[in-house]
Amino acid sequence: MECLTFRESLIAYLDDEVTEKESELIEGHLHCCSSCAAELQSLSVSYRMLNDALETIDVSPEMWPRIEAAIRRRAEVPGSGWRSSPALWLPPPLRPWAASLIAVALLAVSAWLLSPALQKPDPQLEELRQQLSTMVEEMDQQDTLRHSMPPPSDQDEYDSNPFAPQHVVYNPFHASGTETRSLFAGAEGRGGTTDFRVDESEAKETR
Amino acid sequence: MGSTLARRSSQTRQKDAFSEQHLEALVARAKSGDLAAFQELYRGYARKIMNYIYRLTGSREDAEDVTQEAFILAYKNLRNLKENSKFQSWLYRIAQNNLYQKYRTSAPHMESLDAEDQTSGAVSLHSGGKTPEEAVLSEELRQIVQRVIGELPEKYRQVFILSAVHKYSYEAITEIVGRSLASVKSDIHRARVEVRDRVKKYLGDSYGMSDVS
Repeated sequence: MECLTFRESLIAYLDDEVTEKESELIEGHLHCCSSCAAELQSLSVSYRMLNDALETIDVSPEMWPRIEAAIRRRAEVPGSGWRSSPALWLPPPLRPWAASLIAVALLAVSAWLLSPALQKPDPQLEELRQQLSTMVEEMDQQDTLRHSMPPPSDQDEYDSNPFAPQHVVYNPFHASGTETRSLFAGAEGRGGTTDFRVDESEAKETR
Repeated sequence: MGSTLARRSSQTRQKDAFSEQHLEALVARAKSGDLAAFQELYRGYARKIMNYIYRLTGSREDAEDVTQEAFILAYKNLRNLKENSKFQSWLYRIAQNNLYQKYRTSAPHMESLDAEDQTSGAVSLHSGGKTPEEAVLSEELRQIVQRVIGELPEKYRQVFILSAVHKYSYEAITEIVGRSLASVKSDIHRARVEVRDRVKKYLGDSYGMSDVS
């Protein structure tokens, strides 16, 4: 029974995986038990024999280039979950400076985008503005012309456009009953139409 | 009684490829996408991993394939490694898992000797009249040892290779195989005794192993 206990520790003893105290106990037992000592010798011989007999193979020099190529190839696939480090795309001597280089590149791009030279007006936008100005001028002219003409009858105006915002307010409860007036009457009185045109031209200049 | 002579010198214990500090720095750099650092890790561990898989499978081709894929997967999953100092055992586990995935339904199984081969193996060694020293160095012995390892049950084979061939500490082996120290210690003992007995069976008593049982 005692031998069985020791024998279970002989491999660990050979492997230096026992404590100092356990080692002393085992060595004490081996000195007085030839059977366990022979077992240890047998295990030791087989251990050396195995290590001498087993061949070791070497890694092929092509393995690393294949691994590196696979890493780079898989990193290119979007959504593959692979880290696509920007450092991979830099020459090896520059990789440690990857973060700094990226920061400098971003700053340069930001500065270029914000530069006044880039604030050129869009030709299409400019053309649109001119068209709008022309339209506003025409509308002003039509407005002026309309004010110079007698107003249409209230009923006709209401029937043709019940939401007409222009100069017609019909009040059936008004004392006069038939009085009509322009909403801009007050403004006209104060030169509102003229003021409006001036404002618009100022706005055009501002634009 | 020669017990101290038989004991393995601690100097033969598997040396780490890198100091712990250097290893942690390399892994940290590799995590940030530094492929040169990862290449250095590859140089330190590729041979070990490949020979471990080679011992498990007996196939050089499988060993190359599994090792290559293990490093690719390791790079991909490097950020999942919490402790940089555990890179080696983590890499071994990736290689092991990759090997089992390759075989999917069954664990890798090396061809074992049939009855005829076993007889011829033993006879050839004896009939050649070789001394034990010559036998140890012979190609036949190498084949026998490789086959004996291949015949071991999977969990014994793992720990046997890691302890007897790669000479890893028991603690390192627990990290690689993911079992308790007590379990690993017990399995190593059984595996080593089993290998000794099977080799002795092939070679016969002439090898010089004393019968103690």
